[in-house]
This record gives sequence, structure tokens and C-alpha cells, in this order.
Amino acid sequence: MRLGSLILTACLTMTGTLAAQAAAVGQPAPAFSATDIQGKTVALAALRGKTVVLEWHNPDCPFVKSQYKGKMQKLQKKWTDRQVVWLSIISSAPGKEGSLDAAGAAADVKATQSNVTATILDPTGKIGHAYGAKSTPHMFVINPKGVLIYNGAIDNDPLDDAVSDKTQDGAAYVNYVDQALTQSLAGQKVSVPSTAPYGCGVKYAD
Amino acid sequence: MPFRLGLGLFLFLLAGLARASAVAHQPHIVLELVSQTSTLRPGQAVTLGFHYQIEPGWHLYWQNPGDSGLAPSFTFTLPEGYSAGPVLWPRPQRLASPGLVDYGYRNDALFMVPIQVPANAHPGELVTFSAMARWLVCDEICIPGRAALELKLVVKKKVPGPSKNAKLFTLAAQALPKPWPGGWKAQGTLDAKAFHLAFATPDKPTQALFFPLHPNQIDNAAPQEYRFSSHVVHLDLKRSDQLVSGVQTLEGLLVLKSKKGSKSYSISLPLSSR
Repeated sequence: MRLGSLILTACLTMTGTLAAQAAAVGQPAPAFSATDIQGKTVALAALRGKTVVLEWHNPDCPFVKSQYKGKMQKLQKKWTDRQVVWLSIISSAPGKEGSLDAAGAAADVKATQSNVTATILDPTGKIGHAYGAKSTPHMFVINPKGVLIYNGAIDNDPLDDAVSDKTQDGAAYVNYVDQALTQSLAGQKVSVPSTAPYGCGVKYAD
Repeated sequence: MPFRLGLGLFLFLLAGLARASAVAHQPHIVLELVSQTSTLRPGQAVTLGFHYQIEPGWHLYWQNPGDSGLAPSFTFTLPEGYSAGPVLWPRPQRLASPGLVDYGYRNDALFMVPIQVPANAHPGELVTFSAMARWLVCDEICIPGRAALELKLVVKKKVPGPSKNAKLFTLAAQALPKPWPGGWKAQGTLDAKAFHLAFATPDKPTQALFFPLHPNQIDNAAPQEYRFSSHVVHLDLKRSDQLVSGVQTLEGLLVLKSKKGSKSYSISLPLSSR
């Protein structure tokens, strides 16, 4: 078999259809500027110097609902109290699950007693695609230098049935976002910078 | 969704367990715990299966669900001396939605689990297999489900005959991924952009598809570029933006489609980097 030479030519057949590089840990987080549901402009560049959390949101997704039974609000409170900027982003396309207008999103924030800094509607999916947001809740953490330091799941308990801080597999419960923020704000390296996000697929426009 | 065991749910589950049967009717799903054979035999393995019939338009997930979703999980409570082997995952299909690709199942899926019956099982004894199945079923939206199931089988001395569901098992076993034949060459490299795989096969397939066993290695939604030349299948898979550490071995399923049908192989390919 002439595998060696054939493999060499194989790599030349990669086409130009590959999507633009999405958010990669250790790289500058993709820039965006958007209007939040209060009508204020939120530009990532203007948040330099602050730690920023991006939370992909869909209030109708069972994984999101499960987090919003209290865990998510507590985590938001803990870190926004320490000057972390927490942005909730809804990339559901109009007519799809989780799609809300500004008033609807504000009502959701109120109903869930969410402690996010701001909510951004992204019905075209532009920000979602720039980050490669795949599911709700898919979480990103950006350090004060604008570098992405965490990309992945909220925690290691997708079924939300950890008991006494042990998941059903017997592993210790870890909230990856809490861990990344704790380590980053203490000046440490984030020990788990990337995990597989779980949840409902983001309901992007066709 | 009532994931956490509140008192109400706890009581509901207790009631459910007391009445657990082999069949559960849940939103968009009918799930049955089935056996390949009608009886058990001391010292011989029996294959049980979780048979899902899925409402059209809805799907379940593979062990690597892809960009979203969640793999189903199965937990047995077995009598002493019995032991369960690993779940034999059927071959998934690509489930595309805008911007995302998941791996899973539509219509029908049988998740087989081999169970070892102890050599000292008593003929005449009625054995109860209790299991908890948990899953996520999605179309545009997702609904988590769980069911406690119970199946009773009697131990007999004679060679077990087929159950009424035996055909399901035969078909599912035929469709399971096979080990990659030892004599067939395979190579893989990983560079900054992609995994480049090459597989030598005697037949010329019309399509090749790879399903990665682990998340965050390949970009699931990127098109898989394949071509064939001189009995070699070339497959280029864009690497995931989330792949931050090195990968020594790429594990997954290779599906080769040809006029004769499609075959799937379990792949564990050492990678050289370039």
C-alpha cells in the first residue's frame, strides 16, 4: 500500500468550506458588540480589564431549567458580586424554542430571579457562531486581557442528580465555571479550560 | 424537570418501582426491557436489551452525542452472582440541525447489554432483572425521561430457546460495528487544522463517514471530506476548536457505504503529528 504518499495528497484536498476559527481557549475571545434587552450597548472590547462570563441561554431547555432551580442564580450572584460581568446570550432564531423579544427576555430574567449583568438577543446567531456555542447552557469565561480561558459545560452533572456533592458516577461534583473563575481571579491557571458542553442544541436560524 | 429527588418524586418512583414492568410508555418513547432468550442457563451469558421505539421526528443520542444532547444511561440492579457487561452501542447516524451535528438514533434502537448468569444459578428459580434507564429525547426541543423496568426470567437446565424478541437481537448484532480487520492498513495524522485518515479496504465504498467516540476532537458539523484511490479511503476531519491538548489515538466508528450496503468498524488509530 502506498499510504504514505496518498496521505500527503489527501491533505491537499481539504476544501475551503471550513468555518472561520471559533473561540479557542488561550486565544483572544471573538469581539462582538450588541444591544442588550435594556437598549444598552455591550461591546466586549469595552469590558477589557474585567472578567466576563458568557452563558448561552434558552429558558425552555430542560437543562437550563434545571440549572435555574437555584444553582445558576447563586453562581451568578457569587461572581457578579465580585465585579465579574455575566452576559446571558439567546441565539434562538425567531419562531424557534427559546426565542424571546426584549420584553419576554426581561420577564424571564425577573421570573427566574436571574442575576446576570445583561441579556443579549442574538437571533441571527452571529455571536453564537463566532463562539461556536453549541448547546444551552454552553459557558465561556474571558479573562481581563480578553483571552478565552474556559469553553464548555457548566458542570459535570448533566442529569442534575448529584447528591451530597457526588454525581451518580461517584465523582465529586464540579462546577467548571465556578472553578475557572476561582482559579483565574486567584491568579492561577485554569486547571480544566475545556470540556464538552451538554444540553439542548442552540436553535440557530436555518 | 424533576431531576432532583424531591419527596413527591421519590414517592412516585417508589410507587413506580413497585409496579415496574418490562414496558414503559413515556413522551415520544416506548421503551421495553427485552431478552434474547426465553430462559436462562447456569454459567451462560444472556443478552438483554433496552428497546426504544421512537416517535417519528424525535431522536435519542449515541455515547458521544455530538454537539448537543446527552447519551442514555442504563443501570442494572442484579441478583448476587450476576454481572452486566458494557452497553453495546448501535451504530448512530448524523443528525444535523442548523450549525450543529449530533450523533444518535431515529425510529428504533436496541441497546444490548450482556449479562453473565452464575454457574450456581438454581434451575427453577425465577430471576428478576431490575434496571433504571435514563435518556434525553429531542426533536426541536428536548425532553429528559427515565423509567424503572423489570424483567423476570426463569433458570432452566436446557439450552435457552429464542424469545419472541430474538429477531431484534439478531438484526442489532449484525449491525454492530466490527473490529477493524487486523490485516487492513490504516494511518492517521493530526495537524493544526485536521485529522487526515487513510484506510486500506478491499472494496470501493461510495461513502465514508467517521463518528468520533470522544467529544471535542473533531468539528462535528464540518463536512467530512472523503475520496478513494487505489483501494484507499481518505477521510479528512476538521479538528475541533475545543481540542486544546494533544490526541495520541483517535477512537470512533468508521462507516463505509457501498452498493452492497454499509459496514461499520470500531477504530482505534494511533496518530502521528505533522
